[in-house]
Amino acid sequence: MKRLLGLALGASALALLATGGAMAQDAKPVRGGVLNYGVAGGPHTLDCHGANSFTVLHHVGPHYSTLLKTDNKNYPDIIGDLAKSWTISDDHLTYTFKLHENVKFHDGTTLTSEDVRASFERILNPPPGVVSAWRSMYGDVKSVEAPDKDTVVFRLSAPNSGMLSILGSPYACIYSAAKLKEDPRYPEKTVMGTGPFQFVEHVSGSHWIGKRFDGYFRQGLPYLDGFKAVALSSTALINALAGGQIDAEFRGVAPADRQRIEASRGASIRFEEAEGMGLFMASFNTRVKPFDDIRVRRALTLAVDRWGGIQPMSRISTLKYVSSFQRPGASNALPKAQLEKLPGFGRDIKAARAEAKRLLAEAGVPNLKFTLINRGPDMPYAPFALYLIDQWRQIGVTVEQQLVDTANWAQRRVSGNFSVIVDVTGDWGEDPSFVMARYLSSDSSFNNPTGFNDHKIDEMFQAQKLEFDPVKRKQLVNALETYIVEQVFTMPVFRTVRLLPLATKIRNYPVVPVHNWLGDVSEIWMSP
Amino acid sequence: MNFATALSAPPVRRRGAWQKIIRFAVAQPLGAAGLVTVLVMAIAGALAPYIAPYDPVAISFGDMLAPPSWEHPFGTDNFGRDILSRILYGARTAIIMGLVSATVGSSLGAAIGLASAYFGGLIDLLIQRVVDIFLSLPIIVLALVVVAMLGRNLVLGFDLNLILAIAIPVVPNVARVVRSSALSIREMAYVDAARVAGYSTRRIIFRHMAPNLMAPYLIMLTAFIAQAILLEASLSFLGLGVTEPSPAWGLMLAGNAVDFYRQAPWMIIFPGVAISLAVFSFNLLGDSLRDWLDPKSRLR
Repeated sequence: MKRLLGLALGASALALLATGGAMAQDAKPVRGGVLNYGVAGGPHTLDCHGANSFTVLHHVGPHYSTLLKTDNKNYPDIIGDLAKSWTISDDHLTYTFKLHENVKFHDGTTLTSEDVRASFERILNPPPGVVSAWRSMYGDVKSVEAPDKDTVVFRLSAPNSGMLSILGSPYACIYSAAKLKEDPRYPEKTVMGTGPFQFVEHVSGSHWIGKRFDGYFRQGLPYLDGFKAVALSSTALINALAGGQIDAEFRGVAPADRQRIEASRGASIRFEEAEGMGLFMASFNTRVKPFDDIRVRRALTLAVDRWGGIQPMSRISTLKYVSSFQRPGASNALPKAQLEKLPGFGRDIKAARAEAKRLLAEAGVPNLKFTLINRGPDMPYAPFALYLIDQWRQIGVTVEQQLVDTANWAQRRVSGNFSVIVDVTGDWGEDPSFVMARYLSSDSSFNNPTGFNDHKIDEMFQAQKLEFDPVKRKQLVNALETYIVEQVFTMPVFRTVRLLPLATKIRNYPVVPVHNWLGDVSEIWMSP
Repeated sequence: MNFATALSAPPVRRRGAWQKIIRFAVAQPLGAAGLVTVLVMAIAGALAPYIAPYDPVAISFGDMLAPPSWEHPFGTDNFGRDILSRILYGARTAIIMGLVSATVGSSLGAAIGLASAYFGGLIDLLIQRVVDIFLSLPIIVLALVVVAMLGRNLVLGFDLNLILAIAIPVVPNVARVVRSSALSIREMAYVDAARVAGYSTRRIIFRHMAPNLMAPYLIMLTAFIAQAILLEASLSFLGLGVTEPSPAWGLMLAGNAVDFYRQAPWMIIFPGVAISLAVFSFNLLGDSLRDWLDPKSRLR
């Protein structure tokens, strides 16, 4: 009996070793395969510089390189992409980048610093007809120079502690200077970069195909033979994942969809998640009564039971975290104890609602009624708005929801044609210098629709931007965030989870909070 | 029978409304069933604030996705909202929107059809070509276009523009049918007599022709109430009709129900049955009315 047991144990050990060995062997990247993934929408432009949506970068991103990029393995650290190394002057006004040599464009021409210079110049000073969606983010960049073919120099008008992150924007694709000189708008029509994949085909409304670029400057990469991005509606995406027609989706799915996909795909699919960058808020038009009254705004934020609602909301939507403007896991995030002291983030909802009713009565609007503008019936806009409406009912506020399509929503937001609007961020990074920039006074922010002007916020923002000591900077950012939450011109509530369905054969794809871009697709490989 | 006999004949008994209804129910049992169902739904909707066990819009996360039980006979949705309560309140939306839209559309259509038939000639030609254009568009497409163009206009909790959007596709359909009937009535001797007697056009149309078009009008009306209910549900399903958190049958089938129907099939079963029952009942009623009001029918 003992002998038999010993034999069994030995056999098991051998089997384990073999399996471990096989797994170890399996962990070695394998070349080949086509990554087949879905995208909930087609690209509204092919030009990275004019884009602000994941639907663009999920298609064109793999074809381009950027100067710097976020390190997926050590998020949110910034590493070089085209930049091999860099130095920063002591006064933080000069950033000097050395580029990799022998970087080729897909047409065979060699990249030089002039291409980088011309691309950033296009962002900073777009020629007529060119849309530069992120121009204001580079407000501190005074000039970009290319003193030699491998060196790019950025000169700033003022120090900016977030400059490396800003320069690492996934939207700052590097284009060919020669082609830009011929036609500054060529990127809107032609996809030609230095990225790991070369453009093959785009059939609008159907698919987008890229193939490995054998001249990619990183030796041995990419591992994949190519990729195919399939344009599908949100519902069709889930069906396609469940049916096995696609192997991944990089924006994220809802928990209910996860169950369905798992039930269909079984062990051939896995789910990985990270805190998302989608912060859902309600923004108030402070140009319109009674939302110009801070008591009313504060009442509305106090009424919402964030902590009590998040657990059930996470079961029925992609909203999973109570969050202020910084992602809870971010290095500059407010500590929880501090967050819970802010209006709307306390744990005692009864006391908060009593205070809310008192504030409304004091402001003369005890039975407040208004219209909430919401963007379509999509996830998670629909459940988020429903939750807010229900919470506001608890303090006697009647809200009618008006659903509009995305274009209409964006237009209303920009033009101020709303009283209260469901608002959302989808930042591609988390440096406070651009995350918090949208909360600057309306007269200086590119993205504050509320009409609220408070130059104390602007001063506090400047102070954190000029602070390079991480500890001191965190204190300044926390103070800024606290102040903005207290003014309640925009009311952060919940943050999304980035829940990614990935076929188990897809390897080496670390999931990070950012969904706007795919990340480093050159290092993805597929097990046989 | 001669004049003297006629004078001495017993007077014809005028039947009361109840007697007519009872005769209808006996002659048209399916139609009666449809009528009863519709009445029950309408009464349930009207009394919803008193009979609904829960507030239809109140979120209760503790009860989310609960299956049918004594506490929640139709179960709850992903927000813990009681589905029975939402169906009862939704009945108001469905039946009022259906009734008002169909009435507005049918009445307008009848007026256009009648005018087209009476005036004839170039007027008839022009009107019918416009009707042809509208008839060539699928009803849902026409309603979608109107809703998209007009936006929302809430009055007493009801979207007037939505009512209009549902009514407009009804107009050409009713106009075409009423015109056909009106054309034959126009040739009747009593209409000629009224014309010869010098009565005004308005009097001839409203007092001599219109009453004789009540049968086709009522039949079309009941048929289009069913269509209107379905159309309202479709528009709400597409996000263009009633919006959350207001309870509406079509809305209950959209969005969340699509996401959760595997875990909680009751989220789509009960609203689906409610819509089907309402549409079926009105269709039964309309078919029975058509048979009942057909002068050639021996069922009366």
